[in-house]
Amino acid sequence: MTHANAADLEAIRLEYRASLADLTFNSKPIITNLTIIAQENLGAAPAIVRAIEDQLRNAQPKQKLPVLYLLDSILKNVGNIYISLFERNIVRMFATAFEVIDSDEKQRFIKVLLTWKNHPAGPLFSAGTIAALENVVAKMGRVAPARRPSLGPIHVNPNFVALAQSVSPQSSTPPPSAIFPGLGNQQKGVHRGATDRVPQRSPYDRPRGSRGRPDSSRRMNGNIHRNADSAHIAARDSNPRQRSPSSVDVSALQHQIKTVLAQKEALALMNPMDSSAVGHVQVLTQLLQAVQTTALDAASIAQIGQMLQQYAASVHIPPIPAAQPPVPVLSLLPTVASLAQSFNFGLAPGPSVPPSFSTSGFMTTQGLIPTGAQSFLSNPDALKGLLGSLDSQTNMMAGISSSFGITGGHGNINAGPQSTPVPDSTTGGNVQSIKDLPLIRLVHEDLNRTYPMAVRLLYEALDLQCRQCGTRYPRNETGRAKMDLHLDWHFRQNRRAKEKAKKAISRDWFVNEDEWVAEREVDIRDRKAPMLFFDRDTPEAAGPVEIVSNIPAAGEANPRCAVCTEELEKFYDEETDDWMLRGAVRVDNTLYHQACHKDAEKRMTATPTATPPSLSVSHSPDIGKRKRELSDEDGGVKIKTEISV
Amino acid sequence: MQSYLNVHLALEQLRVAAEEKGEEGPKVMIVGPADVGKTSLSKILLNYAVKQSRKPLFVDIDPSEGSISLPGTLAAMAIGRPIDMEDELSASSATTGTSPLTYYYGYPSPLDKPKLFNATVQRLSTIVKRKLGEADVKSSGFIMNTPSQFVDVASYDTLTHAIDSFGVNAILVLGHERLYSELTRRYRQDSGISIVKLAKSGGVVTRDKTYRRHLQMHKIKEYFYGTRKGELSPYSSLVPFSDVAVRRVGEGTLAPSSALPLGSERLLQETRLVKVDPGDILLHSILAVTNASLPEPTVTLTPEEESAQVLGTNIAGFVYVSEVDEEKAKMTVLAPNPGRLPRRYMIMAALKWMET
Repeated sequence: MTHANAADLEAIRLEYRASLADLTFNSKPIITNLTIIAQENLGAAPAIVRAIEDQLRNAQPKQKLPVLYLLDSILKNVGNIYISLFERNIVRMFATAFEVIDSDEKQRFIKVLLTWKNHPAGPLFSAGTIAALENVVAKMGRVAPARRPSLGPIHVNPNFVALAQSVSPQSSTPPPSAIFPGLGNQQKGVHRGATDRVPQRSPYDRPRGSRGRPDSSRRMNGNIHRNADSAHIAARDSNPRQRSPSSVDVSALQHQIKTVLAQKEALALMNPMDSSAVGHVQVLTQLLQAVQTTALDAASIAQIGQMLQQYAASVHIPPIPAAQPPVPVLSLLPTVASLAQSFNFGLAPGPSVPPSFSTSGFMTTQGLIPTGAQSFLSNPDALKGLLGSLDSQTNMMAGISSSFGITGGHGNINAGPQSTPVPDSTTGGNVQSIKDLPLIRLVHEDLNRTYPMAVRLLYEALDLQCRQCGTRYPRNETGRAKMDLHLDWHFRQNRRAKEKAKKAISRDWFVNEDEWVAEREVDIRDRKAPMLFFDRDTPEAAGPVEIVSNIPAAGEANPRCAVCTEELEKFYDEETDDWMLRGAVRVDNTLYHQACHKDAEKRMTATPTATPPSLSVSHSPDIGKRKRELSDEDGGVKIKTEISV
Repeated sequence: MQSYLNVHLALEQLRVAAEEKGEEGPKVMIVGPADVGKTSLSKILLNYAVKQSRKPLFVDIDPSEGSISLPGTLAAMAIGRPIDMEDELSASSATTGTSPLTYYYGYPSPLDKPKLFNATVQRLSTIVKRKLGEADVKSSGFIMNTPSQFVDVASYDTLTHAIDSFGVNAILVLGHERLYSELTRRYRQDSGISIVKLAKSGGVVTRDKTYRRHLQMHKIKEYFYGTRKGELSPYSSLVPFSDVAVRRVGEGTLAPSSALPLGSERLLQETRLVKVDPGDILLHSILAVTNASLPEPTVTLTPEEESAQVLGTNIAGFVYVSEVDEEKAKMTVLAPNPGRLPRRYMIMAALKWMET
């Protein structure tokens, strides 16, 4: 199994949701089945948890109980990552569900809650969560009855129950061999790869398609810790060379790496979208392999251990008092006391802990860390420096570089076929232009080859991406200029789309051949639809536009044109912040329509005796027309300026 | 997909080389039977090229689908922005900023009127070649989509004619072994043309006739009304018969050749226009509005001159005849733009549509 990508997760979520839809009544087979599915898809735990949460929220009140039972079943039988995932929202979900169900079901809900609190292996959730849950119950007016809790009607798979009881995850005083529970179950999800060299793999373990990653998040804490318990034995068995005084150091180191690895994996599980965690996991896995296959002297081990310790410290784990992992093996040697300490801190204490990655913890530790280690904390690339230092240490101190030939330094490790996601120059990660690729001819053989970094050319190499449409440009001067033009274009497009509500867009006629050949920048601003319709039939547009003379109303209560005696249009002009009379003129303190006055003037000069009233009759339609024209012009001008902005 | 990406890489390398030498970019033709993903491959290659800041031309000489404008057309378009998954290529030029160069052929298969098809291809290729002289598209070359009938032996001449007129220098044969070997035999000596066979796209489905018909109708609707993303408003107007000059490509009633006088041969009717008298015959037709203006009343053109002029110009758009009133000699047409119909030649062909 591999880190499910977003699409896979979504698919699993939808599938799981579909199965959940069947859970409308308290049915043992369905709950068992769904529990098993949840168990088998640990990688998709966040998706499954979301599906269940959705279902609990959206189900009808009568159907909430079976969902809660399912949740309970998963918590108790699978436990693990699910506990921490459910814990995030459990209080809110519980409260919303509790609110709407009837009193009979409320009792059942309370019963379930009590089993969580009084679980034989200790409370399922942290004290705070349990308290909050009890608070919810109390608030709803019903005090939790102090009845002895029982599993009640919850159906569980007997196989799981047996396992869970024999090796209970929450046992407060567990025998060392049983701290990490449900191995049989959990190892179903255990990935091969890095654990290849660890002999004590469970028979349930089976290979999963890992899409070329050396390891993945599948490994559960439990597995790792158990490995650690007998790690020195394992190391001795598997590698005779390590039967030296430093063998324990090596195993401790391995253990430490695994611990950090486990944290990282859990982290990657919690945040499937976080690629940095994936990168960390990979590098750690490689480091682990390197350590396992290489004989190291005490000094290098100590140094690596120290760096790891700092690295582990950067992974902030909220301490939980319930489980305290024992470190019996590690305490054998005083030289690794500090390692053990870091182990204590870094170890996820039991599978119930949500190993959340805290940036703030990250920041605070940075001050304590030597500068070299600081950068190594920040990204997987830098982590690889650790591998590098491992390499150089070996070379320098003991001169046993030949034994390192198996892994051959980090370059070799990464050059393996499985290591593409980590940006690395040795794998041709810096393909920036088509010229970096070998010549590909248009022949059958060339086209059927695989050019591993070719896809980068289309995406990563062009890392300026438009957020609106996804078009990409290279991150350089020309790219930026193009991006700016592109964004401008979007801006205009979007504004146009907004205007669409007011104005209909029509398809233009296609341009003719010559224009098509010459057509360059594709921009509405430069485009003029060919005016086919008006090229012959319409008269020339009216002559020069008359200037509309608007004058202040100046408190005229009922302004009328002295010629046509029609009312003058009053409007508020925001520019002058005053009431204006549209198209009016004031001559000798008498108001006229601009047009009326003009016509009157003409008549006056031609036939001075003509009387204004007769004019008004013959010309009023004309005035109306002109007005319309003017306002049309107004609109036209407005549109033009908007476009050319 | 891997091989498609590799084709793009190879083409891109050719473009880089062409850019350095100031030559024209790769001229790619995609051939293959129906439902192998020819159009999809064209779009993939175009979009890859656009991503790399190229501006390739898309030449579509498949009249059955009309992915650029309408079924029955042969068209070319400069692609400067990624092709939208939803809008595809039919978005209005107002939103894409590019106008297609379109010629009306009017029939779904090149086999219907091979001579007319060849003439149209000829005309299209001339203009496309001129366009390739422009600096912004020169090194990007073109990607050409072809009709599925090209794999037919009967249209072999049409295929080679298209290859020759466009000066194609790379042929991608999708899922058709025989055509591949035939083409390699034909162009073996000519090292200028590389011929590659590719597997057909995964996930193609066979589209039946009804579905194709549906697609065509959808395309027509899209021309007038736009897509969901970019809606368009067409306009209806009443046009007197006297204002339009409708032509159709020579059909009419022909005497069988046995009835002709001894020794005389049939004229080339396929590339000659025949006058259509407006009337009920136009109802529900899609008429192509050409960019060829009607001659002045004083000038009279011989049918040959007229045919050459009208068929030799690209079209400006389409109108749909929604109603015909023979008594009043008027018809109602749906035009993409507001206003009166232009005084232009219109070509009628087999394309009909019922507005729903």
